Amino acid sequence: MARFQPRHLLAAVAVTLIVAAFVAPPGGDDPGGPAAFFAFCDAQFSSWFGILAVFAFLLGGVSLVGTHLRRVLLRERDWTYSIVTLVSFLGVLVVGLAKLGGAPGLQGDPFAPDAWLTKVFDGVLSPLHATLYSLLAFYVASASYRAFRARSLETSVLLGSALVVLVGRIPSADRLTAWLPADMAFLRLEALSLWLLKVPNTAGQRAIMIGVALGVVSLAVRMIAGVERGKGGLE
Amino acid sequence: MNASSGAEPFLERLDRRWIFLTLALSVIAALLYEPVFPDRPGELVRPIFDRLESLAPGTPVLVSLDYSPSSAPELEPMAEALTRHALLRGLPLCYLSLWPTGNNMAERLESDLIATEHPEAVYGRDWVTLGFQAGGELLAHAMIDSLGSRFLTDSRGTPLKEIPALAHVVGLGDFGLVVSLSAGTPGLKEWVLYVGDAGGIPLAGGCTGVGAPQFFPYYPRQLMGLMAALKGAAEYEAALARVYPGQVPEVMRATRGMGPQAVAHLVIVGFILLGNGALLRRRSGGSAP
Amino acid sequence: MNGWSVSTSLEVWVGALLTLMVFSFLWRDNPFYKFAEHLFVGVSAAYWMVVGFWTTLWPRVVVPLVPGAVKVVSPEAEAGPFDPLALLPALLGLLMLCRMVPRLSGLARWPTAFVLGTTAGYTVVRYVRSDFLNQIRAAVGEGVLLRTPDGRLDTAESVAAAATLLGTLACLHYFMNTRREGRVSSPFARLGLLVLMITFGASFGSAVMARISLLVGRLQELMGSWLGLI
Repeated sequence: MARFQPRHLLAAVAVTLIVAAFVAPPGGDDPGGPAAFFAFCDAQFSSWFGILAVFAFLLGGVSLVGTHLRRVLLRERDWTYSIVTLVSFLGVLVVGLAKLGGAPGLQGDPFAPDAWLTKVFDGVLSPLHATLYSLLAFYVASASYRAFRARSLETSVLLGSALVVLVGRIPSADRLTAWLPADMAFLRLEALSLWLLKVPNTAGQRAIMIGVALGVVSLAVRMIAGVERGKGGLE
Repeated sequence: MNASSGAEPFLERLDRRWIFLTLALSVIAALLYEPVFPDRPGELVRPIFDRLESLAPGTPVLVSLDYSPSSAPELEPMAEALTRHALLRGLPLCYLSLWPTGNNMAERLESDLIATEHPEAVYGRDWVTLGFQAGGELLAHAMIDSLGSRFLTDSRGTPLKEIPALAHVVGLGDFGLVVSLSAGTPGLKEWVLYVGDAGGIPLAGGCTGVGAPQFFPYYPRQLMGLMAALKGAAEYEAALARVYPGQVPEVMRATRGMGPQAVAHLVIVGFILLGNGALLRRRSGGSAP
Repeated sequence: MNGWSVSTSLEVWVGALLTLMVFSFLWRDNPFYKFAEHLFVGVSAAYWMVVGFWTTLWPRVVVPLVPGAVKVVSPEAEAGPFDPLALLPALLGLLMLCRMVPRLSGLARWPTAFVLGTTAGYTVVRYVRSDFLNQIRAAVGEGVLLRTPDGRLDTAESVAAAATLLGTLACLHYFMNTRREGRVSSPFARLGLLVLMITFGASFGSAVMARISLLVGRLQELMGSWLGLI
């Protein structure tokens, strides 16, 4: 008899949940009989998934500490910055787990306005997070200038569509094309950009969605059947 | 040698830091000058506004704050507009989040908006924060039948059954509207797949500009309305200002941000046209691109 | 524009200085930027762990397994019963952490199998329903001859519906068919490509809009909260 292996667990869990979607769909009446087992599995598996997500955070954190500690101990390149990472990581961990700054002991809300974790979030994490992403605005502008060229019909269509959306989605767009007569109002920038998004964009996105859905199903079936190798499987 | 051939190499050699500087200065100038362009509610935003207008006072509304500080400039104005609208209509708000940063995003709404503009609002009666729980889309899926299956208490430790705002709420279907303000995954798409279509629950959404085009196929059957990017937030604010003049700030955050936004868009369009102009001149001059 | 009114809040100053450190990367890579980048990595990793622990692990694993622990955070709360079902996710989680130990890393395949199985099981049905069947329904469900509420033909909406359907079919044809020769097939695939170009152009335009919003928001914070200029 074959040993029970992880790929059997994968298949069993997946098939159970697929069956549960049909025999015990959410929002329906409380199922009885065998359907109750599938409803129970549906509820419990979704809960365990969330718990395992947090263990994945823990794994990531420990891995981060290990990587940067190694850099410091072996004096690898930029090892001094790894000290910054380690000190900040441990500092926030202590502040958050001990709920420093709020109610005494562990009774407070770690996200209360006076909690130190909130101050770290507002003073450090939030501005850094926002600023790192806002750098993209500059690089998008630079990339638009350097690379966004109408070299062929296809790229011209892409460029034209981008320009219509860029200009059409600002509030004063109508003023730029207000001179167009009423029976050509559909060519006014705001209307044109909305039409672009509602018709050709929807067509393209819908086709992509359908294709992706088929790909997701294909990958899931391969995983359930145990024939998927590499990153998508268990190897 | 073509007399203008000196311009093309310059444009090709242009250091990108000049582009950065031009963009930064134009946005700074626009922020200082504070141009305000009035907007009007668009076709995709109006259904969300009308839905909240149609709900009877006391009907709770769920807002899922599925974003982090990096997307707050686009999505937080939407959350603020929805919060203002719900509090003016007497609709209890329930905040939760599929993202770990959601707790702090909700706290910002409480301290920056509710405490300052609606000091009469009472936590537990007018709004409640459930906060974040891990699980992503499966958290949303589990709440279709029962909020209590995942949230035993709110973020302050109060059991759900003791919260007046959730007195008649068992599952997601008991909310008048479920809105997801989403910056990525898990977010609006997962709410559509795991809640809207799975549970037949009316769903509306707000999203960043990056994600907006991919949600158009869901409108209007799977998403009753969509606030797309800062413009969507500005359109919602415009609807609020029209229906509740004097009860909301004259110029709200998204509307204020659209002025510099418009200037920056025109700067980028200018750079694109400049780059393509150089290409056209090279082609018409006969030299190889 | 207001006059200068620089903030006296430590949080605002720290945030502003970190912002300027990150923006310094636009000139070139430098130690200030590297410091800010490494600080961000450390703080965000710890923040996610703390949030995950207090919002999920504590109420759904620690308290069910050690009911008395609830009194540590809420002295007035009553301890509930021991829940043996919480042992299973706790065990799977510990197996996941075995990945860090080379000799035991094979055990981590069990929680991985559970996660992949859960993902596969949930996504199959949802993607087929929402992104396949419902999208087909949206494309052809009401046909392309749409009517106004009073029964007249709505020309604009009908043209839009027909154009969307045609565009969707053309794009699918472009994706699915590798052979594009033929008087009908090749132009139809070309139409699909052009529709996709419009889609990507619209996506680019929207993405630019999003990035600009982030920059505007950041500069608003600096000029408003920090310098008090606006």
